[in-house]
Amino acid sequence: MTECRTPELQDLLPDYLLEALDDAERLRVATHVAACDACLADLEVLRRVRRARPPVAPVDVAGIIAALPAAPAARSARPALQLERSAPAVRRAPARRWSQGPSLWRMAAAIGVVLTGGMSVLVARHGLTGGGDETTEAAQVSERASAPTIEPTAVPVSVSGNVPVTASERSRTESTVATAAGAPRADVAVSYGGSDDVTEGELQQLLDRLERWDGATNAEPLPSPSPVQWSTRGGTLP
Amino acid sequence: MIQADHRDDASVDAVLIQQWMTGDQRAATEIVARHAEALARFASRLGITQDVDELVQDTFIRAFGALDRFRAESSLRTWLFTIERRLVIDRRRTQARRGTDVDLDDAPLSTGFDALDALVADEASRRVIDAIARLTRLQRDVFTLRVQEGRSYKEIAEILDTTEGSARVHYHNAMRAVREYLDD
Repeated sequence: MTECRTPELQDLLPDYLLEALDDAERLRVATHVAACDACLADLEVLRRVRRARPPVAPVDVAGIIAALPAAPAARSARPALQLERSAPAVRRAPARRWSQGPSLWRMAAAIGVVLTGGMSVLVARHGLTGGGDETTEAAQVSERASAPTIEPTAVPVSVSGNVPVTASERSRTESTVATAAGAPRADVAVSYGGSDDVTEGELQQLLDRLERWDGATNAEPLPSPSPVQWSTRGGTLP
Repeated sequence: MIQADHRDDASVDAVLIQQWMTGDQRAATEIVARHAEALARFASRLGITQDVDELVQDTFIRAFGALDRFRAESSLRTWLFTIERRLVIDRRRTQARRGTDVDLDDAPLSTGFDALDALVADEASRRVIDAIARLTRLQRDVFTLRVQEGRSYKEIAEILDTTEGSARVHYHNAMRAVREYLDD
């Protein structure tokens, strides 16, 4: 027997047998089968196979229906109490955590860290340069007015030799100046000077130290577990 | 090209699914009634002779559990066949681990069709069943899905987790083998 020369029509024989073709295709296949021995033989085989379709035992539809899950609409119509009970499970899901409460805490913590760091730098710089907001300037004017004997020129040793950087160091410097002036420590008024008070080299040295100090501050590890570290891991809630 | 019944079936199924989604439990009954017999028959094609009811039920339970995610990219019956076949594979793997059934390869076997011998009255049908039983498992699955269930190659590829081209080749090889057996 010769092979079929139009395999695309041969492929349609099962559909032709099942009457699953539209009119145009059915006519095309019928015309082809009438002229193709291979397809005619195939069609006869297919008919025999279809006739031999094995019977199946009846299926217990009612039993299957009884075992089926409820429809989604029925599931969503559960009492509110049940939904509340299921809420903790939902909160435990990682995807939900990202979009709910903890993210606010993380944002707040991140803002806090940034603000704290920024304020630290600002405070340090203002303390060293004397520039900044009106309150600081007013305080410095007040200091100068109330303690004319202690002018910036009285402090060059302190500035050039050992620049106060941290709060504790500044406190120590103040104490030293106060002692030298013979005034009670509580009433000491000190001007920390401006950029005019130091030479170019001293200023550069001061900036170098400040830069190192900033680096040390930024490299400080956050307390563990910090909110920021916890948020980036995306782990489970405690 | 492929007409009427299949498309109508798909649209009927789509309506029934929608009705079930909105809480109409009668739609579920209709869906089960429409496809249960085909699933039972396909189970026997897959060589399942015991607990067919249970297999069909498990198929529906799994399908209805995920019906709200059914995207209708294939017909519902094709999707059900796919689920059922995967359940059969799981069951065979479990049985293979227990040493009770190791038929996971593509070798010819007569399981399932032998069991139907008693139900087949005439000699002609018996020969057809013998011919099909001699096919490899994949050939038999493709052939019966194509000829007796009227699935397209695309649907067969989806059900059997293969390609359309592979399904077509298996069909033609099976067709040749069956024809030669019947001609002898």
